[in-house]
Amino acid sequence: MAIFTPPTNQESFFVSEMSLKNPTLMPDGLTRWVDVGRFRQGCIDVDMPAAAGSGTSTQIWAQVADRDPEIEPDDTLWPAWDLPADFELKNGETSAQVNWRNIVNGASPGSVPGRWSAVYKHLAARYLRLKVTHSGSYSGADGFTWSARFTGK
Amino acid sequence: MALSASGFGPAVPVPHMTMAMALLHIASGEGSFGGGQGLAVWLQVSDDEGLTWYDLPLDQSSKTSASGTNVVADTHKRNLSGTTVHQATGAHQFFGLIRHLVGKTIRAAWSITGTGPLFAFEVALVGK
Repeated sequence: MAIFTPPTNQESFFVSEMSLKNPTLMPDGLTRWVDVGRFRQGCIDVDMPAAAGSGTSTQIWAQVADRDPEIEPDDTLWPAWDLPADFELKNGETSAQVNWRNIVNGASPGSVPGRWSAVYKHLAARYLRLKVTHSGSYSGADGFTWSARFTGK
Repeated sequence: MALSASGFGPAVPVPHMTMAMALLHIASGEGSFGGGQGLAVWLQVSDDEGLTWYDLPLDQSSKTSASGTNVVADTHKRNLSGTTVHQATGAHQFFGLIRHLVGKTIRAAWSITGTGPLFAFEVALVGK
């Protein structure tokens, strides 16, 4: 008799863990592409631990692509599209932001620790990544770090 | 492919697709435009294999921006190309989400107006 155990219908994995140590001007960046083709709903959780220093503001949001980035990795030929979330909520706030693009909408060393969660109720995308921008120069010895995790069903 | 007149793309059967995102990439645009003139792109669905077509509103739509300034997506708009007629030159990307795609066949439609208009663009549909 064969017993079949269905696979779990939930997966969770890191999109990126990024640590920026004492740069004079924090670089903007893109995470790796992740394949989310098997998920119909998803959320992205961003965790920023406490950081010393001051002087920068960080924004993070999701982008999608319409073709396999491993085959067509050149952004100049095949651009990415910003992906709006359905809900975005920062820990401690009691009302979610609706239809916001930015998951993290301005975090600075003075405003963390902080945790943000963005929900995508209908995830039609196949490929997803995060884009990060910084305004201002970070000054501090300990760095400004964050990590992002994608969870899908 | 650069286009200078209104039209529509090929009919694409999507009987098993229940959600989709539409991705518009405008590579370039040129021409002289008065108020309300320019490029507008939207989706249409058909339930009779392409005999008759109906405009399809988007659940969410937004324009991609390199700026960190937050963007709040529009809801329940028809046009994938923004809430105003697109008149800009240069490259631009627009995103649209269809949460529940119940049409059997889908296509892109566009209107192009103005003096000497020429737009190079493509529409991709990604769905599950």
